[in-house]
Amino acid sequence: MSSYRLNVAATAGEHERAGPSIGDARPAALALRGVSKYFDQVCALDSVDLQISQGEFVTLLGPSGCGKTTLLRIVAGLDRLDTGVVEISGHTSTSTPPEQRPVNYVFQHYALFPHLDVADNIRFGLKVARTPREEIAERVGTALSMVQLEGLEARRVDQLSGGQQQRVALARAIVNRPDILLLDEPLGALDLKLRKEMQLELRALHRQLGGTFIYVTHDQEEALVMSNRVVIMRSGQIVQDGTPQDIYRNPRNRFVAEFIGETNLLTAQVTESAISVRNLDLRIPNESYATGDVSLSVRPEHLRLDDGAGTTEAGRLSVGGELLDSIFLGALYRHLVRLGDGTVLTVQELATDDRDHAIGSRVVVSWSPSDMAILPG
Amino acid sequence: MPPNPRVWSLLSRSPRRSYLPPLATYPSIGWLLAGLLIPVSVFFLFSFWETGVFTLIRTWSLDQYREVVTDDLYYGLILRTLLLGLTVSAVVLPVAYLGAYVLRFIISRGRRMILFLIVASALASYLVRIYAWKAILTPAGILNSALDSLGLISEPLTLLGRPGVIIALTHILVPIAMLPIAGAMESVNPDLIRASRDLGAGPVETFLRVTLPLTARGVLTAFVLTFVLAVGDYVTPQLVGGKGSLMIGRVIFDQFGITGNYALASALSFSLIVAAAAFIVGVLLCVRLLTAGARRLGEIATAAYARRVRPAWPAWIRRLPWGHGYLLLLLLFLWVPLILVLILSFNQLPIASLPITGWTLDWYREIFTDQTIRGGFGTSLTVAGLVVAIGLAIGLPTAFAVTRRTFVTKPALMGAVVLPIALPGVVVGFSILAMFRFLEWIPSMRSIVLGQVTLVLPFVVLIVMAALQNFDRNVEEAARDLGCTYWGALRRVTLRILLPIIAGTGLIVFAISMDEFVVTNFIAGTDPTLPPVIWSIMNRRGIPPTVNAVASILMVVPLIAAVVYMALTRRTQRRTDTVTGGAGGEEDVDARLPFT
Repeated sequence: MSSYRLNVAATAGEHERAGPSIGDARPAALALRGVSKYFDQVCALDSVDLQISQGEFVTLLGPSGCGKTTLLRIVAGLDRLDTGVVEISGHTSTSTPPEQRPVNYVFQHYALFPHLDVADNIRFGLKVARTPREEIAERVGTALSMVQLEGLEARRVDQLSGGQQQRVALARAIVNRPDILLLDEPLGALDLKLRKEMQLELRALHRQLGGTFIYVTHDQEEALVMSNRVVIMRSGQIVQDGTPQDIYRNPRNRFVAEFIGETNLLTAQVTESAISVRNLDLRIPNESYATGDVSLSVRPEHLRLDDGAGTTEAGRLSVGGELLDSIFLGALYRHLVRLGDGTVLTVQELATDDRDHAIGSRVVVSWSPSDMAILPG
Repeated sequence: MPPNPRVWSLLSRSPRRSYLPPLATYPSIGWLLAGLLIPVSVFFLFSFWETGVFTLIRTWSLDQYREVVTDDLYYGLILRTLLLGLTVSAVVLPVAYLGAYVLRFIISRGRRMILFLIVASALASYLVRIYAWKAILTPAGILNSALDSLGLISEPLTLLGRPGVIIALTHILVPIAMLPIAGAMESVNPDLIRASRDLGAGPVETFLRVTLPLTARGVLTAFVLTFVLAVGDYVTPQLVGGKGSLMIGRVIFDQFGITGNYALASALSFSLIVAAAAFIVGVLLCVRLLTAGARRLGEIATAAYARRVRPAWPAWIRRLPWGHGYLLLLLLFLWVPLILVLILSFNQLPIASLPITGWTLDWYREIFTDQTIRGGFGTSLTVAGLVVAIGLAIGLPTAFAVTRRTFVTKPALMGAVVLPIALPGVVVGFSILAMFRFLEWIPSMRSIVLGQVTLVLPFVVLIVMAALQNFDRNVEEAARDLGCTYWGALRRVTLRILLPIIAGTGLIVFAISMDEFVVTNFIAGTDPTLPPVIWSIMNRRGIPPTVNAVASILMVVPLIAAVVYMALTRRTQRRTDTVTGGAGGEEDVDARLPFT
């Protein structure tokens, strides 16, 4: 628990040095301070701090039950928080009812009004706000063209396909020009192909509108594709917060390393002089790590497979093992190698030449120390 | 700096744990107190008092219970009634179970239509259905006259009495028993049955170890419903019972009209409730013991199946549409008596007999000139209107509160809400009457509305609750997010979407109110609705043929209501299914099982 607290505390400091797109001089669109939420005795959010600047596209990423949707609902005012402060566009909104917040929500299952047609769904918010008739017509028209639904105004929403319903939900939210657009796994119910298209469209929409988007997903690939900042959550806390590149290359712990992309993990012991992997002939000189257990993380694309005949390049680390299987994936090969201690490593290579390694043969896996992350625990 | 959340949550564990029911349920609670809980308590009190002729003497005694326990007329009757309830259940449950099974697993075409026809027959007036059987079974009735004119019999068969009571009760209770059974059956995934066969269990063992256990809850609910309704019935024995089939409900009822011994009626009622409850518990315990036996039986059957010890039916017999055939028989049994009444209402001859010799509309013309019937019809409409308005006004908030709020007393409240349909009608009716007598008020339209709203409350709350549980709350949240206040979202979105279901519920309530007899008969007092009026006509010597016409009207009105209800709710169902992107398409899954 205490290490998480440290992480959360460190998150604030992270913003300043994480690059130009995060936490720069732009005014804050959203600030959460010490936000906690309990459902009965279960902690859904544990004292979360988060700052989001105007114009950012932030993804909240985590496994189901990590609190990401709860966080989004608290920003929208759909759930009450138990402790903490919510500031939206510089105003304290902790107990503001949802209808008075300058945010709009896109629900996972769209939550379209089944008794209204497409146009009535989209103009709902404007009508409630008593917007002048001509302005409604104009804004609805713009929103419809943005989501490419022109011509479907009079359609009943149950006559639309899933992708079209998704677009109506999006148009219904953006037509109100919210300060923050909240998207709760909006693509989760679509099939893979449509989902990939919509991901790109949402990116384009964000550039076009220039507003703040907060996007919730459990799909790490989607998070990398869409946003310029990823916030990884687990058990109601923020584990890591940074650009996609930063998080992929420098995961803070095993959880992040495994959750974002694929990785190979080896448990190692740190002594005064060296870091060594149990049961494997692998020793790395210890320069700065405290004694204890650590995990070594290497991405599959950073591993290289050799038959062990030649000599390993100087400076590379290597271990021997038995080739379990080689899988051809089109552009890539994926090799599974079992090490002496039973650990199975995944090696990914470009399928440029079809070097044939016999299944069951002895092979050597090597990698450069600079591609390896040493993680606590 | 906010307090440490963990400590804070421990300190403030209970502020959201609410014991009191929400305010929205108070009107219903008040109504249930006035219309059921207090009357039943008052009526219960009566059993400890002594009695004179049409008066109560307020001295405490256990004489009534002593009489019930020692007089073999009374305890014998209670016992006989319970046995009859058991007999009726033993007939009704297999018939209903087979029907539900065929509907779910054997046939795929016309499922919705057939289920609707079965359930709709239950809505066609209770009183009319018993009357139909009387018209069929009496010595000079339809069946005997038809058989006679075909030259099959020389003198009329005696059909009234015990067989008549069992047939009429089966007719009434099969559709009611089918609802919980079909509900349980619907949640059984056909793949489970296929899996059981795949894992080596024969058809009998699969049924005993998979299908039956998975539907047991529905069967037990159906049993309790059937049993309670059969035991508390006093109308059926009166009309089709004939001599020698006296039942306890009838004796209790007679204390109201003929003997006026309220104390004895009360003691009999509560003895009946206790005995019936004990009986039900006993049966449920026996079911437990039977489970082990069923398992052994299944093993034997599978072993026999594996050795091919089974009749080898010729292919053409196996290809016959057994499923549809059975359902057709069931539908004929349920609908032919009702259609006969409809036909008789156009019969020229003023006696209930076949074949029909000529057609006329005279009987309909006559009822529109009959002052009593017109008065009853007027009262019925007024009462039904009031019952719909009040029932929805107090039932809707309760359904919302019960679905959306958590409070500790919720199970108790739900128990009280369903109590009006769980208690025998004869007890509910007598209780309200007893309270009015106790307060020295004269029963009139007030008491009818009091009683009927109590009776329809479970329907309103349960139907609307079911709709709310399927309602996607995100839609309401979307309205809030788009700028509606809490009440605005409720009005513009939630109620608007649920409108067809609320209107449908109103129609059902209207139909129930127009048709309600068992309770209303006690409390109608000076303002009888249509069913008590017809009842008094039916009990005259030589039933006038106008009864067929009134009965037909009473029967057709709820059916129209049912059709409209179906149309309304189906549309909502379809819309909500597709829009929420949910799994609404289960209808298309083929549940038919191959049977070898």
